[in-house]
Amino acid sequence: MKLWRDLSYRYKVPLALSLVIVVTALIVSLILLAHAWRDAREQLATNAAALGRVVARSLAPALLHDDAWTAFEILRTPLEAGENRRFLVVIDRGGRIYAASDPRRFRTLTPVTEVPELKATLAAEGKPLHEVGEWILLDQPIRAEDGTVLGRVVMGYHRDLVLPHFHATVRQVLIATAAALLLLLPLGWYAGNALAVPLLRLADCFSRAGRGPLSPSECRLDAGADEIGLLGRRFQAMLLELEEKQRLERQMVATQRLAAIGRLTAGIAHEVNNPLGGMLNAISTYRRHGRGDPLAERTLGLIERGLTQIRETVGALLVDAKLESHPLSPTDLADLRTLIHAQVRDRLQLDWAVALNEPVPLPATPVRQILLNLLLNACHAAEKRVALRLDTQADGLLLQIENDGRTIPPKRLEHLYEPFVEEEGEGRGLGLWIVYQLVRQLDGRIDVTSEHGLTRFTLFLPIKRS
Amino acid sequence: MGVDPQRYFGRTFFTWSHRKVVEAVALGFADAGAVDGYVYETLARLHPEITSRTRVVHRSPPFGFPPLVAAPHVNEVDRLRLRSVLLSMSNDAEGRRLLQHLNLDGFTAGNSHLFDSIREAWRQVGRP
Repeated sequence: MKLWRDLSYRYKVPLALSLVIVVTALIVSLILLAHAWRDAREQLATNAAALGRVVARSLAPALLHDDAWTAFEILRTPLEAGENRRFLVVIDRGGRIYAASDPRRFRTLTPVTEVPELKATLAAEGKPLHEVGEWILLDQPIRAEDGTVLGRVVMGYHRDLVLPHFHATVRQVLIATAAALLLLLPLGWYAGNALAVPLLRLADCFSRAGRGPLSPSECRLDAGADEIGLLGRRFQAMLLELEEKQRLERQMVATQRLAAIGRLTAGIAHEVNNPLGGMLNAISTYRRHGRGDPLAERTLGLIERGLTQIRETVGALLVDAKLESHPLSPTDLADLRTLIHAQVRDRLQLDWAVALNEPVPLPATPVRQILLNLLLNACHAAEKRVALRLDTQADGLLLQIENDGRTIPPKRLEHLYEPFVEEEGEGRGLGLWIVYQLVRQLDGRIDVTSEHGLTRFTLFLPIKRS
Repeated sequence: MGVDPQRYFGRTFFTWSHRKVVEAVALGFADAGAVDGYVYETLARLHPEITSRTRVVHRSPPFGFPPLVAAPHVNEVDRLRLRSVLLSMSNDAEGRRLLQHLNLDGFTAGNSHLFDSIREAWRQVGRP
């Protein structure tokens, strides 16, 4: 039983079907054989009854005249010489054997009660056909002309006489059964397989589900409306939901991390800015009232340049989009194009698809900063082509910046906007950090995809109409 | 002999033929039967497969063989010629061939005393 439970449906369903087919074939065969056996017996009974009537009629005069020899000769007439599978016995009114076709076996004058085969015929009076051991017996009364019962003739047929007919039928039934099985078993196996395969696929998908992302193409599931198809679709929907959930979680984690970094950097920047201002003021004061010591002058110059660099860096970290600014106009984009064109020159192809015909109520400075940073990055990364696409929508601007440069590795994508993580030592790694901060402050969204040699930043900046 | 066959035997019956008596015994239908010695011996020669399944339990004293008789209206000349042919059958080849076919040695002139033993038996069973 455990073996059956553990067996794969790949075998269980075909096996079950095959079993049903075999059992059905067996039952049908047995019924047919039972019918055949009964028919063979009935045919024998019919023949025996006819013979019995003839013999009984012929025997009547012999019995009437107590002519045992004639009776004996009549009994022997239907039998072939040496035949031992049939016998005929005449029993007189006193219940003793009067004559028999096989006198050595059925001794004359022996009471019927002492012969096992014949004894049974007494008990089954009125029933013309009965079986005793290997013998089928037929009982026929012998009557005189006036109807007086003179005795009985009992005919015995060995079971083997029925068998030849029966054997022929058995052979036919067996051949038919074998043919049916030969035809049905492969069909059953095929149908069983067809039933099991969708289930197996589903199970396979289930087993792989835990081990990483599973695209619908990897999981070929049945599209049918049956239960397995339904299960498959539900499972796929579940997988997609799971994937979406994981994506959202990753995004949320990234957003939270970026927000934390933002708060941290802003805090540090403020803390650094305060003493920085004081130090720069002190240097400026010393210059104004100092004695012009050349060594001190050189040293202070060095310190001042260092401090200025710190302030600029800190200033870059402190991104603020809420500075007063004019609305974004087509002119701003034209300026941008001029700037970028200087970078691109003949090296790259620049696709510029900007649909902006009138000013939109978005602060121009941060938007220009965002686009400038992204476009400069794109120019750096591109092999042959850089593209900007700007669409004005009812509730905001949709921007796409593309380049055909090297694909950004997934690991890198996770930390793309974090400050100071730029690779290859280009810049300070603050360009995308600034872009991200500005987009967040404008309540916009930014997404990046990088695959098959195409890196695309997609931005949406909402327009707030008050 | 003083024995009533109707009581002494479980059953008696006639087969209406000597040969069939032997068959009845050979097949086991009868336990015993009385048969003419000449028939039994002839049968033993022609069909030993029948007689071999029987055995002789008793031989009666010899009885005269059934005689060949002529009807009263046959004239004396024919009767004597017939008698002379039968008596001399064993003297020529054709006659011997026929005799052998009948399992007989030959014909001989008999007399009434040949049947005295039959008369005696007849008297014993009480028939006049």
